[in-house]
Amino acid sequence: MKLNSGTMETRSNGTATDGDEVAALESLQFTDELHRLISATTTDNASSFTALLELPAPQAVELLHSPESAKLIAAPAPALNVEDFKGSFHFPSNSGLIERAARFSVFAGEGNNNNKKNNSPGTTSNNSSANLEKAVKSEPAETESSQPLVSDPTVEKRSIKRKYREKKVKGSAKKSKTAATESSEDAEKLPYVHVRARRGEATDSHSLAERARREKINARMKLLQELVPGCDKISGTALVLDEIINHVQSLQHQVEFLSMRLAAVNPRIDFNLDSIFTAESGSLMDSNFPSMVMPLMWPEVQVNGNRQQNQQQWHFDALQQPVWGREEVCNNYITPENSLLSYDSSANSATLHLNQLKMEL
Amino acid sequence: MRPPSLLKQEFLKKWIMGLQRCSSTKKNMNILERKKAIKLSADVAMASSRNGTTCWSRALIANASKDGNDKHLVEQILGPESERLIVKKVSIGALVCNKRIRSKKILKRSCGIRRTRKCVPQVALASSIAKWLVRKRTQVLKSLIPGGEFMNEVCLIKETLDYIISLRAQVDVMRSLASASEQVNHS
Repeated sequence: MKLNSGTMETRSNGTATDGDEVAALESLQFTDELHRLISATTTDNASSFTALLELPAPQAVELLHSPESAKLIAAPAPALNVEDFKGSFHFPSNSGLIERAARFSVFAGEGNNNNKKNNSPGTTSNNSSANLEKAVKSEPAETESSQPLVSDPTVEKRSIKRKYREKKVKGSAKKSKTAATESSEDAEKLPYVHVRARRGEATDSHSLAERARREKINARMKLLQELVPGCDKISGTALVLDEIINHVQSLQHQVEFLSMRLAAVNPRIDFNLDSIFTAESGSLMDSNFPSMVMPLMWPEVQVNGNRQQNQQQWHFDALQQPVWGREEVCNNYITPENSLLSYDSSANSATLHLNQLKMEL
Repeated sequence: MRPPSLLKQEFLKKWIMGLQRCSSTKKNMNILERKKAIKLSADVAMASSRNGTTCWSRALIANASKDGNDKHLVEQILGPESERLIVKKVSIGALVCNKRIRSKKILKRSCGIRRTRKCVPQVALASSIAKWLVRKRTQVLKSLIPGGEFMNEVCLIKETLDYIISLRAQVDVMRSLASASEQVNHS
């Protein structure tokens, strides 16, 4: 349990988004947690819970005793996640305890109303408190009083803590969050981009749009990083852009070089596909050419393998190196498969394909 | 995303078609002319396989058809829809881009009076230096991608993705054709 809390701590300290997700989901998950609370088995884990709370005992007790002042206390940032609660759900089911928790949350909910400027956050918190009340009242019969005071402060601490955190997060990121949650419901209808405001960030429309734009750009940059070989290890936009620029330039140079090569091959630019294919299909040293033209015959993996090998070799070789060496290595690479296929009867159908291509031309 | 083999097939078809038309119109080209013709038909074939969906392909075709000599080749490769592609989309794209450029210039001029400080980062903030570096890189990238000067950052990255994929396919096809024809010649 201690180890668990330690890892959760590091994880929650790393990103602030988790806290917001918690707060946003809280109104929805509050009822779930309460159900779990009610139906969970009873174990004594008060000590671990205070460790999870990351609060010393006296401070937690202070929170317990003054729910109103809980809003005013600049408590340390509660960096708990929903996962914390999910993982450690062994709270006693105590009807009186639960009613007290409900009372506290209702209190906090009303307090919330006074603080708020918008109506919508108030409605969400009111809904959550109302749900809480409903959930509590619907299952009083199932609760059993088991644990004494040890579990009392834990549950109340938790509920107060959660409400406090909810308030705090709501204070900083109210409009955008509720806008996000509300608009996410009609996400299918409107083509809006939904951005969740992080904690402590500005929430006006300009910065939201800016953030959405930046996220789009970052997503596309990730795609580019995957596409360009050797870019995923690099961090930092400028270096990644460097790599991309180098890659594009090298590809463009390759095109130039190859067109010069092709111009040198023929006295007139007349690429006789017939002769190429008949010469190629006879020999075992088939080039990549027929493999590309008849994709249905050959497994796709093979073509990809060729392509990748070409790419890698191009990366490491300089332009001045003889091209023949590369091609021959490539050809050797695919020779075993070639030999298999040339013995196949599919070679005949391959020539049919080539004839089709010729016809179209 | 279409499978790469289909893309290559289409590219090869159009390219060979263009080359045949080229050789039929002009005999006895020297090596440089041949190289230019090969490269041009390859580029146009690659761009036409996108069917005007991407910005770089439209810009490439537009640049190719500016020159009167090449325009016929371009039209032949593109086929019947060449008129539609070249005239409509390219002109509209250019119009929009010009408007965007003009409005950006006006904005910069109005705000830039205050911002006369730097072309070189004098502030030793890491973030501003990083931003400047990234800006320089994006300028270079814009010069590389055909039609890149008209795009904003988001479109630029998308176009780069598409451009890299098509360049790769083009290089593969050209390389295998070159090696195949060299083998034929040597045997």
